[in-house]
Amino acid sequence: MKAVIEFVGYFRTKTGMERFIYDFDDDSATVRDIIIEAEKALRDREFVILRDGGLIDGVLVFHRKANDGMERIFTPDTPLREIGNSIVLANLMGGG
Amino acid sequence: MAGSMYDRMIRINCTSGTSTIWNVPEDLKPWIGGMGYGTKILSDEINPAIDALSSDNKVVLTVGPLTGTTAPMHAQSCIVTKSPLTGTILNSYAGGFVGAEIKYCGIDGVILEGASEEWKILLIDDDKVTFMSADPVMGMGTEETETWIKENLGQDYKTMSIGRAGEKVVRMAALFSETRTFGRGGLGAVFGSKKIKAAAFRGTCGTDLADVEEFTRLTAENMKIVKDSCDQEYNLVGMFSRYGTGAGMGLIQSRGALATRNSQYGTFDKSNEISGQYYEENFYTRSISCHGCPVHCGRIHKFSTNDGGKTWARGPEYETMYSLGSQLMNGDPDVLAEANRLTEVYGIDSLTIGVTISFALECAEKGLIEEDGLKLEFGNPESILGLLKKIGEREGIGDILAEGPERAAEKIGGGSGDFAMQVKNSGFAAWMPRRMVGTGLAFATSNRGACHKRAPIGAEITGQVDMLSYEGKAVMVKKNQDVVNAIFTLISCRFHEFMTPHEMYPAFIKAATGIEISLDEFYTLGERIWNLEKLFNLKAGLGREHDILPARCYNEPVKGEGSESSVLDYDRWQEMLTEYYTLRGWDYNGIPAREKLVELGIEEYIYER
Repeated sequence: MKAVIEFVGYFRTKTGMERFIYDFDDDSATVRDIIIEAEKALRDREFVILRDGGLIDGVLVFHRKANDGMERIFTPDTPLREIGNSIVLANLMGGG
Repeated sequence: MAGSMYDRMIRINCTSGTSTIWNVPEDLKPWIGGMGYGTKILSDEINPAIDALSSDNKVVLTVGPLTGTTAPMHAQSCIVTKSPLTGTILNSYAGGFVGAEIKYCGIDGVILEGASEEWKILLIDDDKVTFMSADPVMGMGTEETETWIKENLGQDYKTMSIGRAGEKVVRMAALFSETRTFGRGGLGAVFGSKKIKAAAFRGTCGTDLADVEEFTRLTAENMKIVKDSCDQEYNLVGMFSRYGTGAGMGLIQSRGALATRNSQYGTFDKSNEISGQYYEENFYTRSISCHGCPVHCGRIHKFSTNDGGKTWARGPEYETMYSLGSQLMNGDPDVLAEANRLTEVYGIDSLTIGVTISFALECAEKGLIEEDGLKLEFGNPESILGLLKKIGEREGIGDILAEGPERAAEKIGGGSGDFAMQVKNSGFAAWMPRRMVGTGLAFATSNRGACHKRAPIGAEITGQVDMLSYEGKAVMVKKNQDVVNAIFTLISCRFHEFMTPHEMYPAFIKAATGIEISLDEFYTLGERIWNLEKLFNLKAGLGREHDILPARCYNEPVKGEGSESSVLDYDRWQEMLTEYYTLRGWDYNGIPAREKLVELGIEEYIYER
């Protein structure tokens, strides 16, 4: 199963890439699993967003809906197959 | 003096050129300071129906109990006046260093009354006020004016000034203060109408505290929270600290909510080139901070000017990246920085002028306006910078646009009001109501027009709640408005609340002033101020029909990838507005019921049609 992380904003700068693609052997992989693979692959960019099994504060995970809108994913246990094998990573946002 | 407030303000009569000390009455003290003081004083002292540009208007400049202390992120001062842009009561804020200096003058603020016949600079040394001729600085930009004051009158003055737009009473003119701005609502025009070009403060007083030990403990605890937040890589305030306020451009773009091309689109293909990270990586950059703030979210960049030169300039802040960037199809970071610099030279609110220019460009595209010698096209630097200058000078089409987008639409006609992206003539802040329904409600119901400071932006853009849903948004908006109003009695930086537990605010008030207030009472104070503002606006002639977004929001789906063709349902919107009024204890027309005013202790301000 091919899964994708799409990097947005600061994450694009930090990782130096627009997306990370990984091939899983089966279709039971979760959001956490692909993040772990990305952390391994991007170790030299100090890409670490999981702590104690959860997401570090300020890291936002979304998935793209069928109409191209986005919906927040709150648990890393979410199976990737339920969300189109793709997630979007973004950081918190404010104004000024 | 028993605490951090001096219980005295200076009344400055611009007509007679005199000043007097005014002792703060007992019934004002429970309003804590800042916005609380300003709102009550203005409500008590002016007729809301006056012309905001007449000498009857007053300017109430205040500080709060934490201003000038060691409490982090309390550098701001507050001005309350009647807005010439919106016709509403206005509260406007700026950080920097002038707030602390006002406190060091041994006062809680100043009240400007009347209007001078000649242009003046106000010099406030402790509680002594001097009027001096502004002739040497007339026509100068804001930075130039303030530099002149420092170089000629004293480097230790902390200053505020207006530019040419304020001199020409452009309704969206702002009041600048060194590296910060009282941006919204046209304060620069009010200063211009009073012929006050600048004010400078220099104080020698200290700041007392009711309970030094407890205050020191609270400050240390709060400072640790702020510093810990700054240390975290993905923390919002930490991002502001490292990249400035433009750090989150990527998220809003990916959510299809970056207002683009006069809010026709929700995405901009050059959003990355005008983001905080891009400026940080591609321009020589320095951080700047306000008094006592470890976040230092401000930025100055060295960039290329349109005439081929190089210059340092502040910002742009996030909101400006939208208003003078995506909204104008301007993806050139140098042109954006130059436009931002021109708003400082002319002294104009970068939000409302960006919205006004985008409105004008669409008017031109539809054949409703044209300007001799100036092409009017989206994305064209000459059009953007040219219109900005024309508005600042009130020249040609700029004279009409200087009135603000709604007033300009009334003059231009042709149905242009449908796409003037404003509420109460104040340009939209950088968020799309069609993509963020709660934020849209906050824009529409704001007492100062299209305000983002009290909107549920974080909850909606981060997906904590469904941003397209109408459910629960009225409750959320009311709560935000009341909480932020309460916090603005202390004039906390808006970012302070993002990380500080609310329980600390009453604790700080007690340690600073000795005033005991529970957290619930603190929230109620915010609600009291909100209602007092609403009563002012009703008496000024603004009703339910003004709590509305422009027609584009109800009849034109947002275009662009990720924007889901969002559009507001007018009937559902009106239901939500009624729900909001009901939650507030207001009737269908938005008029507060007597019982609500009795509950809040402000029944003497009742509005009866």
